[in-house]
Amino acid sequence: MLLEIKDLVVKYGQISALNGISLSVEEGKLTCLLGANGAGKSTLVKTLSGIMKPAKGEIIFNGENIAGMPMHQIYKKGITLCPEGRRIFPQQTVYENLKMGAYNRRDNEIQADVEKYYEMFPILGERKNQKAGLLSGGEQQMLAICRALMGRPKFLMLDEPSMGLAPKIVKEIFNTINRIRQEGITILLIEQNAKQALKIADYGYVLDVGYITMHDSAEKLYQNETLQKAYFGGGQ
Amino acid sequence: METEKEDEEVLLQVAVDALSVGSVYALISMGYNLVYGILGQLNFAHGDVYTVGCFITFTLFVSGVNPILAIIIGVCAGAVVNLIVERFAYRPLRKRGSNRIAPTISAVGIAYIMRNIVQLIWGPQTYAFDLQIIPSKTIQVGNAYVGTLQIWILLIAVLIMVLMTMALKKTKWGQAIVSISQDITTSSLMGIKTDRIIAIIYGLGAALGVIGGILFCSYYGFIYMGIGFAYGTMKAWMATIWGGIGSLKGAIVGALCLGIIETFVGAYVSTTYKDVIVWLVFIIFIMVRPHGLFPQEVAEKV
Repeated sequence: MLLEIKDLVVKYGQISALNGISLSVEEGKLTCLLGANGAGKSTLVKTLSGIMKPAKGEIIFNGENIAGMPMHQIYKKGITLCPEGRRIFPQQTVYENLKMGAYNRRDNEIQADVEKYYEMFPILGERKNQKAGLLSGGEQQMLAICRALMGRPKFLMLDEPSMGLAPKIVKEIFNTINRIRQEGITILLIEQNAKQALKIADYGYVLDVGYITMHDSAEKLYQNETLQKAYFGGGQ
Repeated sequence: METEKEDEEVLLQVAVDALSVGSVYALISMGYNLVYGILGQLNFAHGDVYTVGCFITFTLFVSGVNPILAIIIGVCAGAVVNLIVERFAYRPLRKRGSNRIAPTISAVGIAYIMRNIVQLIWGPQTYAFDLQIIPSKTIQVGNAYVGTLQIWILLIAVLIMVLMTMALKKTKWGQAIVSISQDITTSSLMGIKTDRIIAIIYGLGAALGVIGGILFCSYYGFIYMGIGFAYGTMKAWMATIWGGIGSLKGAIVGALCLGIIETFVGAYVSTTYKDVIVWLVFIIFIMVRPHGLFPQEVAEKV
């Protein structure tokens, strides 16, 4: 296991957002985390990336407990979060945004990686010198994912990458995630779009108000009726 | 005919004065704006912190230290003071996720502490200030006479601003500063040691302030405990609002406008009511353009 979370408790003041959850992520696999608003999905990835500190529990990454470490140290272990709402740097150019993703790299392949993502998403190449805030929502999401990948993470967390995007773009985002997985990067995908997420995932967890209520292979979850009723809704 | 010519000569002198005053304000505003960019903190301590650096330079110089060395030490001292202030007065508030008001109030407190320290050591009197590195002569341009001091001040201020702007654009830490000023958390997600960079920003802001302060004192030929607040913090704040909050370019242009208006009003209207008129112009301006000359150009699309 690349990541093992044991009995994790995270609180906002007195209120628990995660009530002792345990989950694990296998190396090279795509694990998805489903759940409604307020289930604690974002809290979990915020804790994994160090934005929030756990009140209790262990986060074992690559055999090392990283719970409560400062953010830049966690980042150095190879854990990167592509945050909810994209959070690109709107005042900086597309190119500068990508460079920020490689802030901690010292090797000489940074430019090659930039070119690689320009090739993957030609629109980013075309607009490399434009301010990122001028991109459309979908383009910003692509940029946010590429920026996260620029750090060459071992483990990538994507928080609601399809949120607020048009169906056509959503499809493209999911294709992209699939492609990243094929490059061997372990992914934890948070999604409200459960159906789409389970189609590409290997394993899934369902989070409900701070507890894990279900976990199984993505295939089995996809066929699970309770889950279908609760999360598939009328969506695509 | 004769008077018309004289008018032209005076105009050139006033224009050079205006630009050098404006560029000094720009330098001070740049330091102020760097900090403003990060937390949206109205750094009311900016002027009083750099005053300490200016006084240290002054004291070293009058006790016989080489003026260049005195400036370097003063600039470093200003930066160190602000690093300490950041560590103990602002960082704890930031860590507790305070709103923007708390560090601003903290800064007001620091401003008073600094001013009182300066008063305790150097007293309330005004000292003549002349580092004697720049020959204070006048040179003839056409028929007009322009002071070399003013030209030097203009050149130094512009040079530092250009270097600073380039550093922000081209260096890694400069880019980190730009990112942090937009989004601290996301910058941390990129593995940037944000605490360290923020400390650097405060240090740099104060350093720019000290340089601006020294140029200011050189320009007017005096130094006293009040230079920081009235001529630094308030002017920088005004320039920032004028230019557009969070825009470095705006702060520079705003400060230049401020210097130009101030000098021209002083030369042609009234020296006594200079500040009153400038503030009036300012108030009318923000009523017309509340977001300044360069409002945040790119709004984040969601």
